[in-house]
Amino acid sequence: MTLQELEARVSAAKAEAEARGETFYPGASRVHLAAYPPRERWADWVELDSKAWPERVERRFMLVPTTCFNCESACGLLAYVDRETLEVRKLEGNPEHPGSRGRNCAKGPATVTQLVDPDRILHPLKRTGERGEGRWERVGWDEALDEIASRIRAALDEDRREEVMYHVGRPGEDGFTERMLAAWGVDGHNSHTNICSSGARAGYHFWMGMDRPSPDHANARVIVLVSSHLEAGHYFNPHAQRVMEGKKNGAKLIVFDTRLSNTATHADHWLSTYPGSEAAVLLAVAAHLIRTGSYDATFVERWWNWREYLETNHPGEPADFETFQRILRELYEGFTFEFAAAESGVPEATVRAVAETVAGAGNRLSTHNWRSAAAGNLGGWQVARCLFLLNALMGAVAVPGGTYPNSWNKYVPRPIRMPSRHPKGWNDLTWPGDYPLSLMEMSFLLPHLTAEREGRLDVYFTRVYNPVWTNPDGFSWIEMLTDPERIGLHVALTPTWNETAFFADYVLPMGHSAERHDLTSYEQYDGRWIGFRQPVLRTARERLGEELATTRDANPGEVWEENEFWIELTWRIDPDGSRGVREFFESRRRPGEKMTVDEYYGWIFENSVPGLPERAAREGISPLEYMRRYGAFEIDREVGSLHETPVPEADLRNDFVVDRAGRAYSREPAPPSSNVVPLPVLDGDGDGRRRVGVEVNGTVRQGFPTPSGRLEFWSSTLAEWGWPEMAVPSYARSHVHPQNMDRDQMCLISTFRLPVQVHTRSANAKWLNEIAHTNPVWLHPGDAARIGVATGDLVRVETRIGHFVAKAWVTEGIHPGVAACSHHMGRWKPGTGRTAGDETTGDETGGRSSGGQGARQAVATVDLGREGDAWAMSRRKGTGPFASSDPDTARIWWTDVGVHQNMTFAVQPDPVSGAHCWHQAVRIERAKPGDRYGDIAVDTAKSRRVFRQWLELTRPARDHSPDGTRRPYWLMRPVRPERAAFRLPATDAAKSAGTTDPER
Amino acid sequence: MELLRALGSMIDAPSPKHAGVARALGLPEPPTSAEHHRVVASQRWPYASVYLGAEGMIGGVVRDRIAGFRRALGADDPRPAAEAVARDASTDADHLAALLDLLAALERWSNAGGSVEAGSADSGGGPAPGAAQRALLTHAKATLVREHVAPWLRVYLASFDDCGALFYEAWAALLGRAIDAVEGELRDEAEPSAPLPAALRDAPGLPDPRRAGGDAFVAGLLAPVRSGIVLVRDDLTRLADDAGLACRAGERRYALAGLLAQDPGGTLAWLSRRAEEWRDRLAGRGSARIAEWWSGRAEATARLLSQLAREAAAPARQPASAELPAQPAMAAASEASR
Repeated sequence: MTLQELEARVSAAKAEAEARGETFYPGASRVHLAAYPPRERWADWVELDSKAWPERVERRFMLVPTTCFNCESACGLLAYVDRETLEVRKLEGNPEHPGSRGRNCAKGPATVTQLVDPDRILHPLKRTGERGEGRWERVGWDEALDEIASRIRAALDEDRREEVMYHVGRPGEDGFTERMLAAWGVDGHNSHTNICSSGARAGYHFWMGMDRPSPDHANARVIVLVSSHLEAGHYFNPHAQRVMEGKKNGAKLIVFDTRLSNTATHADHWLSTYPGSEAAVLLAVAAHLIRTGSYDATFVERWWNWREYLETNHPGEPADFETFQRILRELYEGFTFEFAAAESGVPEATVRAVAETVAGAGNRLSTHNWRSAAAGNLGGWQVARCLFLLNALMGAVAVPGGTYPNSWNKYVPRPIRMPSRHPKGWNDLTWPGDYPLSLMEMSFLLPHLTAEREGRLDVYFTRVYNPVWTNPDGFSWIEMLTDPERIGLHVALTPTWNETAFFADYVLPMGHSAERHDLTSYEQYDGRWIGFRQPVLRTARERLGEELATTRDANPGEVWEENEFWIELTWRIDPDGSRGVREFFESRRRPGEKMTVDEYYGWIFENSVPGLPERAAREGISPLEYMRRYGAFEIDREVGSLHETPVPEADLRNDFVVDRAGRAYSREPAPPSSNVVPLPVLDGDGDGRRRVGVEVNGTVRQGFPTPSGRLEFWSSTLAEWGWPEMAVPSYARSHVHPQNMDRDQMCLISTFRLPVQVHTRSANAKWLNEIAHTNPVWLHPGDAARIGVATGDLVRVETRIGHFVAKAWVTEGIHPGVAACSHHMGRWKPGTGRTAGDETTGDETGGRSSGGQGARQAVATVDLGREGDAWAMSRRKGTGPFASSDPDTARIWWTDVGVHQNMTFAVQPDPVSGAHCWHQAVRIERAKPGDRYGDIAVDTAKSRRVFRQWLELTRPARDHSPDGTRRPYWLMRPVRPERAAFRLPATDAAKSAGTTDPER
Repeated sequence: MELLRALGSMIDAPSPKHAGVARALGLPEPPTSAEHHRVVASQRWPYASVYLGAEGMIGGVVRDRIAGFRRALGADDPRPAAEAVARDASTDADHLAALLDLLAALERWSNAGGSVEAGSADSGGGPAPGAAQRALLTHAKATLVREHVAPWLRVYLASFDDCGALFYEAWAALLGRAIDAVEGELRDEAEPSAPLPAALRDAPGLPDPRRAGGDAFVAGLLAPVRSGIVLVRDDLTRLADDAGLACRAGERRYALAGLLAQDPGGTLAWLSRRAEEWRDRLAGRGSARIAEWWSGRAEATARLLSQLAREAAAPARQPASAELPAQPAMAAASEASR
C-alpha cells in the first residue's frame, strides 16, 4: 500500500472515530495531559484496585464529571463511581474542562474525604434549647420547609420583604439564587464580597465598567501579580497553570507580596512592599512609562476618556491629546523611584528594574490583583486602579497576552422563566446610604447596622457561609445571632458544622460538590465556557436505569441540594400561585407541577448555550445528556477585543445620534441575548434612545460599559459622588502607614491563605487538614529579637478591640516591621452542648453522625465567657485521634489547629469601595503570665466605637448624591431593585439638594 | 501527515486504542504491555537526546535545543494554537511522538491553513497562510527534519532490526518509509553545502580507556552518538550467552563493566564485531551523508575495540608491574565495576 493510501486510510479512520464522539489516538499527545481515560470509555472504565496489590483485582468504574466547590474556580472533576458498590472511590481532574484542563489543586481530589467525613451533617436539625446552647433535635424536611415558608410568606404578605435575607459565602453558581430572589421580589441578597475581593473589583469597575480582570498569562511577556494567588490555591488554579505556561514561554514574573509566599518564590522580581505602599510603586512604574514615552499613545488616545477629563478638570487648557499627555506627565512626575522606594522599602534599583521590565512588555502585559493589598488597606481599591493603569498605558487590554475584562470571558446562560421584575424596596442593611459607591453589600456591618439602626431580619439564611468565623468582629455577630429581636429565624444551609451554624435555629444539610447541581462560568482565559456541577451518584444511578425523584434520594442521609430545596420552598411560600412567585418554578412542560432540575438545566442547555445543541446532536444525545456526560462545554475562544467591534449597521438605523462625548444612541431595540452575564446598566440619552456604543475615529464601536463608553482614567462617578481627589488612579497612605500608627505598633497582615485550605469550605477534609492545620505569627528576626521571642514562643497580639495569643514563627520571609498570620485556621466549637461532644452516636448511615457531634478534625473545643460587652474565649483542648467510621480519624497526629484571629479585628470599611480593610495596627509582645495558646479577648463596646470612627470617613449619599439617588444607577448590583427604589428618602434627598435636616 | 501522527502514537504503551490505529496503518496486531515494556520502555527510549546526547541519556542540551526550536516557532507564529504546539518545551519536547506531531502540524499549517489544535489535528478557523508564511513553514519543517529528526531516527529505527517483535519491526520499516517520503518532499530545501546537523557536528568521540579511564569508556560505548552503535540490554545478554559469561542484573553500565571484568578480551572482541555490524547497518537508509557519519563512528569504535581486544588477549610478555598499563581495558573495567 502506498503512503498516500495509508494517509487517506488513517485520516478516514480518525474522522470516523471522532464523528462517533470518540478519541482516535491512544493519548492526547504530549501537548495535553495524556494519562486520563479517553472520554468514550468513561461509562465503563477498568482499573486495578491498588489496595488489593499484589493481587490483580479489577474494579469497574463509571466516570461522572462534576465541578469542584472547594473554592470559586469551578475546576472540573471526574468522580470514579464504583459500578459494584455505587460509591465514589476517588475524584480526579476532568480533562474535558476548558478552564482547568484536567489539572487540579489539592482541594479537588480531597472532595472525596468530605463525602465520607464521619462528622458531616446528614439530617435536618432544629434547635431545642437557647441559641448557641448546642441542643438539637432531628426533624423532617417538611417541618423545616413549612415553618420557613410560612414566615417568608408572612413577610411578603405584610410587605416586610426586607426582613428576608440570603447571605452567601462564595456562590459557586451563576444565576439560580438571584433569579429566585427576583422571583420572590426581595432585595435580600447579601454576599461576603466586601470582606474579600470587592476592593480590587471596585478599582477595575471604575476603570472599565467590569469588575474583574481576566489576564491572559499564558501569552504574556510580563506578568504582574499583586497577590499571592499563583500558589495560594484559591480561585486561581486555572490561572496558575497559565502563569507557569507563560513562564515556560519566557515571560517575566513580577510579584508584589510582603511575604515570601509560594508565588513570590517563582518570581523574577519579588517586591516585598510595605503594606499599603503598592500603589506608590505602581505609580512610579507608570510614571516611568509616561516619562520615557514607553506607552501606547495610540491606544490611550483612542480609548481613554481623556477629553472628558480635560474638559472637566482643565477647562482653560486646549482639549487636545498633546495637552493631555503633558498633564499626565505632570500628574505623576512626583512618583519617582526614590519616592516609591521610601514608601515601600523596596530598593530603588529594583523598582527601576521592574519599570524597565514592564516597559519592555509591549501590549503583552498581564496583570492581576485579587484581595491582597486591595483587601488590606484603606484606599486599597486604588491598588487595582493603579495596576490596571499599567495595562491601559501599554494598550494591554483585551489583547493576547494582556488583561481582558471578565465579562467578555464569561457566559451566564439565560434561564427559563427569567423574572423581568425587580424588587420594589431598598435594603438599607446591605446597601446603607453611607456607602453609595460600595461595590457589594456591606455585609460585615450587619451586626452594627441591626443594632444601631434597629434593623431586623425575620428569616436569615446563611448558605455555606460562616460569618462568625470568617468575618471580622465575630463576637458582635454572636451578639446579633443570639438576639431574637434582631434575628427572627436563622437557617444555616451547610454540609458541615461551623461556628455560625451553632447559633442557628435550623441547620439544614446541603451537598458537597459531587452532590448538587450548579452552573458555573469563570474568566480564566480568552474564551467562554460553562461547567456543570451534578450529583454524581444520582446521575450514575439514573444511567443504570433507576428513577430518582430528588437528589436527596441519592445523597447520604437526608443531605439535599439547594436548587431542589429552593424550588420546594418557593412552592410552599406561594402554594396556590396567588402571589405571583410560584410561576417561576412551575414546569413549562407540565403546567401546575413543580419544575425539576432536569427541566431547568435542560432548557438552558437547549436554548441558551450557543453551539451546545449542535455538539450534542453530533453524538446523538441531548444537550443535557452531553453536559451530564462531559461536565463542561467551551462556547468559544479568542473572543478578542470586543471594545473595538463595530456596532452592526442594523443597530444604528433607528434615529441614531452621537452626543458630544462620542456616545452613540439608537431607538433600535436591543437584540435578545442568551448571555446574561452581569454588566452595568447604562442610561439612555434621556430621549428614549438606548446606548449602543461609542464613536471612535468615525466608527461606532462597542466600547466599554462605562458612563463615557471608554476606559475611565478619570471617573466622573467618583468625582460627582464626593471623591474628586480620588477620581484618577492615585495613592493615599493606608491606615497602617507608619505615620498613621503609634511607634510601638506594627502592621499585621491577616489576609493570606494556606494553599490547601479555603475558609469554612474545606473543613473536615482530612487530607487537607493533615497538610495544613495551624497559623503561627510570622515575625522578622529583627522584630522577634526586639520583642524577645523565638519560634514557638507565645506572643500576645493586641488589636484595637482586644487581643489573641498565638505562636511566633521567626522568618526572614517577611518585611521587617510587619507581622503576618493566615486567616485560614483557628476553627473552634463551644465546649457545651451535644454539638461539641466528642462521643460518636452513629446512625443507620454507617456510624456517621446524625447531628450533634460537631466537627472534630481541625477544630478546637473552647470555653466562651461573657461579661456585658467583654468576651473571652479560651481553648479547652485541640484536636486528636478519635474512633469513627473512618479509621483514619484514629490516626490524627496533630493537636494544634491554630488561633482565630479575626475575632479580635474591628470592622474597618473603606469609605469608597466599602471593602473591609483587613490589615491591623497591632502591638505584639511576649505572652503575659497566665496567657494560654488560643486565648482571645474582645470588648464589643470598643468594636462599636471603631465602627463609628470609620463611619465618619464616609461621604454619604444624603450629602453627596448629585441627583438625589442612593447610588449611581450604572454601578453593578446583585438583584437590582426597580428604578424608583434608587431615589433617596425625602429627607435625605432634601439634604443632598443642599438643605439641612434640623434633627441631625 | 496524519500518517506521521499515527505512527508516532504507536510508540506509546499499548492501550485498546492502539488496535484501531494499527489497523488503519496496516500493521500487525499491537503488542502486549509486556512486549512494549521489553522492546521499548526498558530498552529503546524514543527520545532524540538518548541518541544525540553525549551522555546517552534523556534530556540535556539536545532536548533544550529542540525546546528552543519549538519556542522560536511559537514566537514566530502569532496563532495561539500554534503556540500551544510549539510550547511543548516540556520534558517530552524531544520525544519521537512529539516530534512527529510537530512535523505533522507544520505540514497542516502550510497546506491547510487555519489553526491547529495540538493533539487533535483539527484544523480550520484561522486564516490561510500567505506565500511568505508558507515558505517560512516549509523552511521550519526542513530544519526540524534536518536538525532534530534525521540525525537520529534511522539509528533508532535500526535498533529494532533484531528486536524480535513483529509489530515493531513493521512499524519501524513503515516509519522509515514515511520519513523517506518527507525528506524526498523537502529535497528542494536541502542545502548541499550546509554543515552537518549541530548534534552530530558537536558530538565528541568515544573516549579511549587508556587515557580517559574505564568509566568514561563504558559510558561512551553506551552513548550512541559517541560510539556510533546502539547497545540495548538484549545485546549484552546475547554477548554474555555467546561468551559464556554472566550478565549481572542492573543498569547497562553496570552489566557491561561486569562483562569486561569477567572476560575483557572476549567482551571487547564481541563488541568490536557488533560495531562492525552497525557500520554497515545504516547503508541505504536515509541521507547518505548522515549514514556515512554514523558508519564512520561505528568504524572507529570497531577499530578501537579490536585493538583493545588484541591487547587484552596478548600473552603477558611484560613483567607484571604497577608502573605499566599492561591491560588498560581490564583495569578500566575493574574500575567501572566498583
